[in-house]
Amino acid sequence: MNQFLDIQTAGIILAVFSVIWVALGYYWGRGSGELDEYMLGGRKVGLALATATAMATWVTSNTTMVAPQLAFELGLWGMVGYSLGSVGLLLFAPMAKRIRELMPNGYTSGDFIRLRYGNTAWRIFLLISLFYSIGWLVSLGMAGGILLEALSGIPYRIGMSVILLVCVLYTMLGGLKAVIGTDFIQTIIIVSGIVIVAVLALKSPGIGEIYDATERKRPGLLNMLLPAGIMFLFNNLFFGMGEIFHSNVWWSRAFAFNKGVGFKAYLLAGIFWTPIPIAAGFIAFASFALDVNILEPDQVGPIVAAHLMGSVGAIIVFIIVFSALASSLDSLLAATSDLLLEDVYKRHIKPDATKPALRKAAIYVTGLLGLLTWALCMPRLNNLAQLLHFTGAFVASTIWPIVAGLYWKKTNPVAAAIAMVAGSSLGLTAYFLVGFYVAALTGVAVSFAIVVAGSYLFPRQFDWKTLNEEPHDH
Amino acid sequence: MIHLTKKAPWLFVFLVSSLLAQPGQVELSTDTKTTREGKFKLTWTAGSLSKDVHFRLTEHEPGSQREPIVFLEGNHKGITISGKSNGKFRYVLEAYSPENPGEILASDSVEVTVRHHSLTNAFIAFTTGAVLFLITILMILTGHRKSDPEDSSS
Repeated sequence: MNQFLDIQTAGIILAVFSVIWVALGYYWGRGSGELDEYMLGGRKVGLALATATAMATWVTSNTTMVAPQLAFELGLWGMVGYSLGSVGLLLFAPMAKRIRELMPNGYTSGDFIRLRYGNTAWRIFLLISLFYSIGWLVSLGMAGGILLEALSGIPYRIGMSVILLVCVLYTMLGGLKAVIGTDFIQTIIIVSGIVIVAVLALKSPGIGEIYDATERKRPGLLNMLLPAGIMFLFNNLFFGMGEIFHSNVWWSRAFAFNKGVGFKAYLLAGIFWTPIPIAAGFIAFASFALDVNILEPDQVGPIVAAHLMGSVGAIIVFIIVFSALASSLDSLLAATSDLLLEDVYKRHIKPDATKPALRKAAIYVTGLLGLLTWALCMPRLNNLAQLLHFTGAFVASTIWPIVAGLYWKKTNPVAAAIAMVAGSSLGLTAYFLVGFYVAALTGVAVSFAIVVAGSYLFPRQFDWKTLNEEPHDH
Repeated sequence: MIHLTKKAPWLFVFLVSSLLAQPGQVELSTDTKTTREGKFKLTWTAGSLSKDVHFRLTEHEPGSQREPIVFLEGNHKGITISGKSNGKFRYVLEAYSPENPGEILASDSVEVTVRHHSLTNAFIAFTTGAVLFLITILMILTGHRKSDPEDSSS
């Protein structure tokens, strides 16, 4: 494959941005001595930072790589379906408000499931959430290595190791404050970069030529009746909803945002995010007009973008990609560490741990999580979309236990637990029997049926005040 | 089994070019023999040939009237093909080495069958998704209107 950036230039950019992110992490981390400051930014993050971090976290390597890949593989439905990932952000807006009201002292999504449904459902949820988080972390780490290799020839293992190391370092140093602060800067870089690439693609080769070339070379991609594409549409929507509704990445932000900020921040982030996968997916279609041969579909986005902008422009692509990766990796590292710290370490291993002890343990947990991710990324496991969609069945099975748990007093805890297990199992079965594009849909359908039927047949009354747990001791 | 008929003179040309070419050093392979998404990957190796070798990938559809087409040319290692409609597609790779101009090395042919899911199944999935989505939205928006924790007791 032709590299668009020489390895020395790529190395310099990597080094410069690595130093910047780590220095900012250190700077913002100086005032995060308290546990709540470190884990939740003091629970007083304002609207601008809140919107930027929600958006930057959702614009990830998956947007820059998987959105074009899905357009390349499933055509128009792939592109449109991926942009429906924004629905998860939009619908989480009212949920974030509700979460903040019901759980003013909450730390993680695990806290909610534990208090709402009890220990069995909580442990099932933890397994699902940790499996998903580690799967996403690995896909991000792998994406980093693959992208740097594709763009500049930096060997996969070196690129992947550097990106992981940098993100782990500044997350360890600064906690959520560092994550949100860097996300703000990264959002500006990502949005500016994608606008530049999209404008260049529209100027040359131009929308008419892109359409003609696609119709001539891959007419099936413009077919609105492509069966796999039609099946994919709602599957991806539920996959995105499942990711956002259950993941501590989004819950920890709901707890961290200042009162009244969560609703507006998630709504704005969803609106701003929607066109990004359309622009990224459109780039995949440009590959046909540009006669760029694609061997690995998960690299079509960055390769075409670098092709459009030439060697100088490749620097911009490289920085966008690095920012997109870092903005998601750091968020996921911080949120997963919180989940491990609060739900595994504090609740299972050291129930009497004090806040200062937890603050200290948080650093070790982040470091160990980074190390585990690195070890799992060393072999290139699978293609990115496959790895990502494998988790679809799991996360989609949590949608109804969470939605019904937040809004419906009668929800039965046993039904919620069974819904997560059955939804995951049958969704996974559909993944292997039919394809990745029905796994999440099957998971949510099964989970919905069990939660609703179980709660109508065996209703349980719940006191919402139970969710307002006393804060950790000092 | 391929039958040469007057209706398909292009098939004769395709086969003759394949027979004249020397098989052996060029290997063409696919990641799947059957696909339900219309997407598959073809990769190839050129054995001991130099790195400057020029490849030509030809596609034809057995049983159709369409003439073989050159799908890709150049110094590539493979291609991912997507957006294919139902049917059987047969591929042959030819390699032209600058060291031996005039000599053509050809791979064995590789056949891929595209068989999409039925539209009925696709629309069942689509409708299920749409209904579930509407119910979920309804649940969230109704709950949001009763935002006071004390009042959300439906």
